Amino acid sequence: MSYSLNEIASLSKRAARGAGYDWGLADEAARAVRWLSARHLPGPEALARLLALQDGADISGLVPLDVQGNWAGSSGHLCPVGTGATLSDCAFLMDAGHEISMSNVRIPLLLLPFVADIACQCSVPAEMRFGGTSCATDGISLQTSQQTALAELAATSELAEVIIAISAETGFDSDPVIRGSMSGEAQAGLKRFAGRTYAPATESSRLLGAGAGTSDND
Amino acid sequence: MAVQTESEMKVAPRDPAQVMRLARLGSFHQSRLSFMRQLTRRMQSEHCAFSRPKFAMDDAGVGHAVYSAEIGGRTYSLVAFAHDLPDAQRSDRVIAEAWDATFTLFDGVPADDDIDRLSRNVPVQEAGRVTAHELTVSRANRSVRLWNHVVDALAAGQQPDADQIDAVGYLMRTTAVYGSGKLGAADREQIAGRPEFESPFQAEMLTVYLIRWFVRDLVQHMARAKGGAEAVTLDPLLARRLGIGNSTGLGMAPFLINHPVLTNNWIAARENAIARVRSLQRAETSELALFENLLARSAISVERWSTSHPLQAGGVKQLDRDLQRLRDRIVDKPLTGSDPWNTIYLWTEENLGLEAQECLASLMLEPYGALVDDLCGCMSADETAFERLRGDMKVSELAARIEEIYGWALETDWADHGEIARAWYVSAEKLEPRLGERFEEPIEPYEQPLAPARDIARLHGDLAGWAGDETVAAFVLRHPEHRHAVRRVQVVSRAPYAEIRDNTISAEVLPIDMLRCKLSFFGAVHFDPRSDRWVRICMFGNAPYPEELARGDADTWPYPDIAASPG
Repeated sequence: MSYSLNEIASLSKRAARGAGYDWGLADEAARAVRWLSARHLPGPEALARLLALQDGADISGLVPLDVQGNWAGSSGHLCPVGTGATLSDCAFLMDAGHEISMSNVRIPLLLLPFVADIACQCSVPAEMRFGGTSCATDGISLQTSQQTALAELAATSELAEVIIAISAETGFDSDPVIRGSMSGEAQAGLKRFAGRTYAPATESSRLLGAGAGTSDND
Repeated sequence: MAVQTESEMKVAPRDPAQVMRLARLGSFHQSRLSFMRQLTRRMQSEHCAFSRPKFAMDDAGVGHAVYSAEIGGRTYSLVAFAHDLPDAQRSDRVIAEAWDATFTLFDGVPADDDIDRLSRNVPVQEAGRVTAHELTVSRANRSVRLWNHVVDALAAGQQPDADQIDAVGYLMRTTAVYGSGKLGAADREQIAGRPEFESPFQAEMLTVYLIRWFVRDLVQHMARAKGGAEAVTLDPLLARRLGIGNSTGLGMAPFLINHPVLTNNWIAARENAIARVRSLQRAETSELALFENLLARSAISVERWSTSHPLQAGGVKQLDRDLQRLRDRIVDKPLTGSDPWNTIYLWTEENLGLEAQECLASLMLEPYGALVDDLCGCMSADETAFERLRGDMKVSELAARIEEIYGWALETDWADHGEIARAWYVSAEKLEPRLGERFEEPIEPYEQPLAPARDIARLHGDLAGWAGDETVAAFVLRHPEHRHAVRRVQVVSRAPYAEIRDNTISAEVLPIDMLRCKLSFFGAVHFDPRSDRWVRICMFGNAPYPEELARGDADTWPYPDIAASPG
C-alpha cells in the first residue's frame, strides 16, 4: 500500500521510541527508514524486524565499544541504527584510504542510509562491502546495476562482516522518489510499538488535556 | 527610493534574546510577508482564473462541490463535501468524528472516479486515506448562531446584521488543515519545486481561500432553499467582511519546537525586513500616507476584535489605547525627519505594550514591498541539511554554545516542581496531543521531547565530566540520551531565531503564545483564545473573492476599509 514519506517517518519514529530507543536515535531510525523508502527499499519492513529483535534491549551493548579498530558491540551484535548514527557522526574519520570494519551487524539494510550520510558529508561516494559484493551511493542516488546486491542486503538478518569505505564507483542513475510503501505486516508491527508511546485516555485527561472546555456549538 | 544592502543597514535585526520570548512571540501580528498575503499577491499578479465545475447540493445543504483555481499554469481544485451534522456531534477537537463540511485540495481537476473515491474517504478524515493526487485534507464546522442568522435574514429578504457578522467574523471555521503527507496526501517535496508552492503553506492557504468562496455560495444556497423567491443575495460588502475561522489547539503548538529551522527562517525574514525599514534615512510622503491610512484601518480592525478571554481582552484594550497614543504621537512628531521608522519603533518599545510594538513592526513594512518582499523567498527550509549531527565538534565548543544561547536555561532550577509542572504527551484517544500535569497524572512515561531547555541543561551537566578536546561523536556514543539535545544545540548555533527562550513545561506556560506566533505568519487576525491552549482566529477576512481580485488592491485587505460599509 502507498504511503507518504512523512507518514512512514512519523510512524517509524514513534515505533523506535516505543521499542526503547532514546528520542535522538528514534529520529535516526525514522530518517533511515524514510531514506530507504524513497529508494524503493523495504525500510519499514526492516525496522519492524529490528524492533522485534531488539525490543527493550540495552542499546549500549549494541553499539561500537570503540571507534578505533574493528567496530563490535559488547553483546556480540551491532544495532544498525545506533551503529549507523555513530558512523554518520564519525564521517570526519573517513578519508580516501580509511575503512571501517564492523562485526555482526543486524538488519544491515538499515546501515545504508548512514553510508549515504558519509557520502554527503565527504562529498564523495561511499559504499558498504559484504559477502563479496557491495552497495554504493553518492548520498542521494543508488546504481540500477546493484539491484541484486540490494535485494541480498534487504533479505539479510545479520552480516558477520561489513566494511564501509569511500567508493570509486560512478554512474548513480537510480534516483529517489517521493512516495513510499509499507506491507500490512510491517505497519501492524510498527503500530504496535508506536502504541506504547500514547498515554491511555482517561476522562480527566480528555477534559483537561486539550480543548477549550466549552461548547463548540457557538 | 534606494534599496539598501545588508551591509549598509544601520540597524541590525533585533536580538534573538529579545524576540524569542513567548510573551513577544505571542504578540506577533500578520504582515505583508504572511503566507495568506503572499498567496493573494500572486493570485492577483498572475491574473489567476477561477471556476466552479460542480455545485451539487440538495435543499438540506448536503452534497459536494468543486472549485478550481489556475495558478502558475496549473489547476488546483477544492473538493468540498457538505454534511447534515447534528448539533450534539459538533466538536472542534481532534477527537471529533463528524463535521459540517470536509475538504481536500486536488492536484488538477478531479474526474468522477476521483470524486467517488474522495467521497468515501474525505468525510471521515483520519479514518480514511487520500493519495499523492491530494495536497491537503481539512474540515470545518459552522458558527451556528451566525450561520442561522445569515440564512434566516437572506431567506426573509433582508441583509444580515453587520454587527453580528463582526462579532464572529466567519460562517465556518476549519478545525484542521492537513498537508505534508498526512493521511497519505502528497509530501511537500512533491510540490516544493513549483513556484506557486515555494513559500510555506501555500497549498493550505489556497485551500482556505477556496473554502471561503464555497461557504459564501453554500449559505446563499441554503437561504434560497429556505426563502425561495423572497431570498436576496448577500451584499458583497458584507460577504467581504466574512473570513474563514480556524479553531486550533495543542496539535499545532509543538510545531515551532519540532521545526526549528523553519521557525528561524520565518522569524529571520520578518526581523530582517524590520531592520531594513528601520535603517531607512527618510520616508517619502506617499509612504507615510499609506502607513497612516493603514494605521487608522488597523484601529478599526482592533475595534472589531472581540474575545472573552481575560488576558487577550485586556491585551486588546491596551492595544486600542496604545494605537491611539501612537497616532497622537505621529501627529505630535511627524515622521518627516531623518530615521523616521527607527525613531518611532524605539518610541513604541519605550512607551507601549508588546502588542503595539509588534503591530507597529508589521505595519512599518507595508509601504516597502519593493524593499522587503524578496525576503518571502527565504521563508522555506531544507531541514534535511540540519539533520546530521556534526560529530567532529569538540565538547568545549558545544558547552560554549550552550552557555551562550541557553544561559537562561542553565540558571533555571529544573528540580523545582513549578518549572517542570507540565508534560506534553499524545493520548491514545485518536492520537490527540495533550498537555498534562506531570505530578497529578500518570503521563511522565509518555512525555514527548518538547522541553529543549530542560534537556539542554541536562546535557550541559553531563558535558562537565568530559575533557574539552573530546569529540561530540565520542560523547553521544556514551550518552545516546543526549543525542537530540546535542543536535538541537548545533542547529540553533546556525539558526539564531530557532529556539524559544522560555520554559515550555512550566506551570505558567501558555501554549496559545506558540499558536499565535505560527498563526501570525499564516496571516491570521482576531486571535480569540478560548483557554490557555485553544484559540480561534480569522483568515482571509476582508480579502477579495476571486471575482474581486482583478479589481483594486489585493494586498491591504487585512486592514478594513474605512469607507466601506453596506448601504
